Amino acid sequence: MNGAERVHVSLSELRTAASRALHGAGAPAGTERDGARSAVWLESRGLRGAVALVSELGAVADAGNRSPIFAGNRVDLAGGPVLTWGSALVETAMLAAGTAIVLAGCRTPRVLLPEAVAQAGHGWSFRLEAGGCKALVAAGETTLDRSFAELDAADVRLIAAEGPPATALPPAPSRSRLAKPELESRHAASLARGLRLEPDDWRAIREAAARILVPATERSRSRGAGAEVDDNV
Amino acid sequence: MEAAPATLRPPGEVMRLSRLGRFHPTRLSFARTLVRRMAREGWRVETALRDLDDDGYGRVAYHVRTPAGVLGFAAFSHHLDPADRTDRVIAERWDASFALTLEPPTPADLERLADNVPRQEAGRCGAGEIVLSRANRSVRLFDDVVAALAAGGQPSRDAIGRVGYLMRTTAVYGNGKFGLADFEQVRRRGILTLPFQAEMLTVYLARHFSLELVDHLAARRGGPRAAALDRPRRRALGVGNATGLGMAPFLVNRPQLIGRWIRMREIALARVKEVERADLPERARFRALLARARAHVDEWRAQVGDKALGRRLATVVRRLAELERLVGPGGDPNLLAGRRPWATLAAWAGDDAETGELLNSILIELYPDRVDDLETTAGSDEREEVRPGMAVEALQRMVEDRYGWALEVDFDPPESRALFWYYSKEKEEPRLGFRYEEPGADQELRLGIARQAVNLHRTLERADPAMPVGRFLLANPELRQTVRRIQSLDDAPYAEIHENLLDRDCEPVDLLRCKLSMLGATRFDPKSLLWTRVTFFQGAPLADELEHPGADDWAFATTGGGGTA
Repeated sequence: MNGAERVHVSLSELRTAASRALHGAGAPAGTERDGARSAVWLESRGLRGAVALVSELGAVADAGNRSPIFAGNRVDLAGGPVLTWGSALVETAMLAAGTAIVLAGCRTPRVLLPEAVAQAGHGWSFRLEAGGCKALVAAGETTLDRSFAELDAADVRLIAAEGPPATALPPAPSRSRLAKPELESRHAASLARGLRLEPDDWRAIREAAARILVPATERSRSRGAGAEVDDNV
Repeated sequence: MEAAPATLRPPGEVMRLSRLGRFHPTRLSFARTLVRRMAREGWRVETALRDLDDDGYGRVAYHVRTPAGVLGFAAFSHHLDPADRTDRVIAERWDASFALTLEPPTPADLERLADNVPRQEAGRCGAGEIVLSRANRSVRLFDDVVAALAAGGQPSRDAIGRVGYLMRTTAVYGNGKFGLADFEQVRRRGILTLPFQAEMLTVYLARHFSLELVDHLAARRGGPRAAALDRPRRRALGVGNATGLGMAPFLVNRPQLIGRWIRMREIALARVKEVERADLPERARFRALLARARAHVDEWRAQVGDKALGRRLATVVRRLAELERLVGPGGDPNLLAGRRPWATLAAWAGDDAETGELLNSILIELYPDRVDDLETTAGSDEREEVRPGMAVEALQRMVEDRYGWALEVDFDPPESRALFWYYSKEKEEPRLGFRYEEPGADQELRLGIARQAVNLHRTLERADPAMPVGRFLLANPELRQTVRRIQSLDDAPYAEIHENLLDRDCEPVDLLRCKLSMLGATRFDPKSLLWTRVTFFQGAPLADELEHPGADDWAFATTGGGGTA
C-alpha cells in the first residue's frame, strides 16, 4: 500500500487489460483469457486478483510456450505461472479424477480456484489442500479457509471428482472460513461500485497490456476504425 | 432453448461474408426490439433539464421512466472547430457527448459528468453510468435545417432524404469501458437485460436530443417567426453512425453471441417459410411491405456513394418491381395463393443475396406473432471451457465436421495470410495491416480462426488418437484457444464466420454490415472496405408516439415519414 487513492476500474476493464497484459507477456493463445478471467474472479471477490496478476507477469514471460511437465501425478511448478497454467493443472486433475495430483512449489494457490469454479459449472468438484488449509469447489458452492486465500507459495494437493464432492470440509467457525454467500456478496458489491485497485498495480497491468499495441504510421492511420478525415461529403 | 424448425438454412450457406455482408435489419434487430419494448411497457422520456445557450451549447438531462425504474441521460453540447470535426476514433473533440446512467443524475453527478463525458476516452466514468457516446452534427444538413426552421419554413424532404440524420454518433461505448458499469450489473437492474439495449437506447435518445436541439436553435435565431420541425420530418430523421474495424474483433471474439443472433434470425425465417397458406390480409400486407421496401431501397440507392453497392441496390429495385408485378393483379396468381408461398418466395431471388436477404427481412416482418418471442433469446454468457477427457480422435472429427470450410483454405500462398489485425497505440484503435509490408505482425490479434483450425487439425493428425485432449494440450499449449473454441461451439452452428479473415481479398466491411444489421442499422453507405456510414431509427416513432397504434410498423422507412402500409 502506498497510500495513494485507489483507482476505479470495471470488471470488464480489468479483464481486457489483464488479457492483453498476459498476451503481451507471451502467454500461449487462450491461456491469457483464462488468466484474465481468474484475475477478475479473484479481484471481484476480494481475493487480490490484480496483485496475483502483477506478480505472475514475469513468470508468464519466463515460461513462454512451456507447459507444466508432470512426472506421474506430481509436477514441480518451480515458480511457473499458475495464472496461465491453472487451466491445464485443473484439467490434469480431472483426467486423474479421484487421485490427488501434487503441485509442488505452487505460487499463489488461490489462483487455482477460478479455474476449478469454471469446470464445476460442468458438474465437477475439486478439493484443494495446501499448508494445512483447504478449499472445496463444487457446482454452486465454493468454500475455503480464509488462510488458503493468503498462501503465497505452497505444495498443493488437488483432487477432482466427477459429480458432487465425496466429503464436505470439516466444520469451522465463519471467521476462519469463506463460503459462497460472502463470496457472492463481495462480487455483487464489486459489480455495483466497480473495483478499486492500487494505482501501482493498475499501472503495471496497463503498461504490460500496452506491449501488444503497435506504433502508428501514416499508412496504418489510413486503415483504422472509424471514418476517414473528411466524412461529411 | 427454443425449438428450431427443421428447415434452417445450413451454416455453410449463411455464414459466408458474401451472405452476411448482404444482411438487412429485421424486426428482431435490437433497435426494433428496443422500441417495441418501450412501447409495450409504456416508457416515457421526460426532459429534466435543458440549459442551452443561443448557440445550442450547454447541457440537457432526460429521465427515462420504465416499469422497472428510472434511467438518466445526460447530453453535453459543445463548440467544435470545423477543423476538429472527424469521425475517426482518434478524434478528441465532438459537437455533443452523452452518458446513459442507471439512475437520474443529481446536480453533483451532472457536474462530474460534465468534467468527464465530453473528454470521452480521456475521462473516467463510474459504475453508475452505462453508456458513453458522442456525436457530430451533419455538415450537410444540420445548419440548413436550423436556417429553414428559423425562417419559419421546413427543410426540404430531398435534403433529409440525402442525409437522413442531424447528428452522427462516432462511438457508443458500453459494458465497462472507461469505468462504465459492467453489463452483468446493468442486467441485474432488470431494465436493460439483453445485449446492446443500453447502447440502442442511447442512440435513440441522441436522436431525440438532436431533434430538440434544432428546434431550440431555430427558436433562438428566428424568434417568434421560427417554426418547429414538423412531425413527418422528425420521424424521417434518424441518427447517423460511422463505424469502422472495431466491430470486427467483436464478431470473432464473441462467437456464442453471434451464433445466437444468427440462429434467432434463421429460426424466424424458417418459421415463416413453414406457413402452409397465406390468407388474403397476409398477402395484402406482403404486397404493401414489398412496395415500401422497394421505395426504401430506391432512396438508399440514390444517396449511396459506393459504386458496387449502388449497382446491387439498382438490381434490388428492379427485381422487387418485377416481383411486385408477379404478385399483383395480372401476375402469377399461384405465387401467393399456393402452398408454402413464403418458402417459394424466399427461394425466388436465387443467388442474388442482396435481394434475397431483403426478401427474408420482409418475410420476417410479416409475422410478428410467429417470431417476436425469439427476441429474448439474443443473450449469451459466452462460456468456454476445455473438455479435457475428450479423445484426440473425437476432436479431430469435430474439426472435420464443423470446420471443413476452413480445411479447404490453402494457406501456402502468401496472399492467404496477407492481412493481420492489431491494436494501434493511437487510442488502442483496431487496425488492419499487410503482413509483408508493415511492422506489427508479432502483436497480431488472434482472429485467423480458419488458419488456427488448420494448424490444429495438422497437429491432431500426428497425435495419438486415444490421447485425452487435456494431455494433448500439455504438449501443445499454443493450441488451447483453438481447442476450447471448437469444443465450446459444438452446439452453435452459426457461431463461426466461414471465411479466411487474413486473406488479402477479405472485405471487412461485410463484417460490419452483418453486425450493424443485427443492431438495426439501415442505409449502409460504405466509404471504403474498412468503414461504413449507416442510419439508426430513421422512421422510428418519436418519444411521444411510442404508444400510438402501429408504432412498431416502421420497417423500410422512407423520408415520407416512415411506414405507409
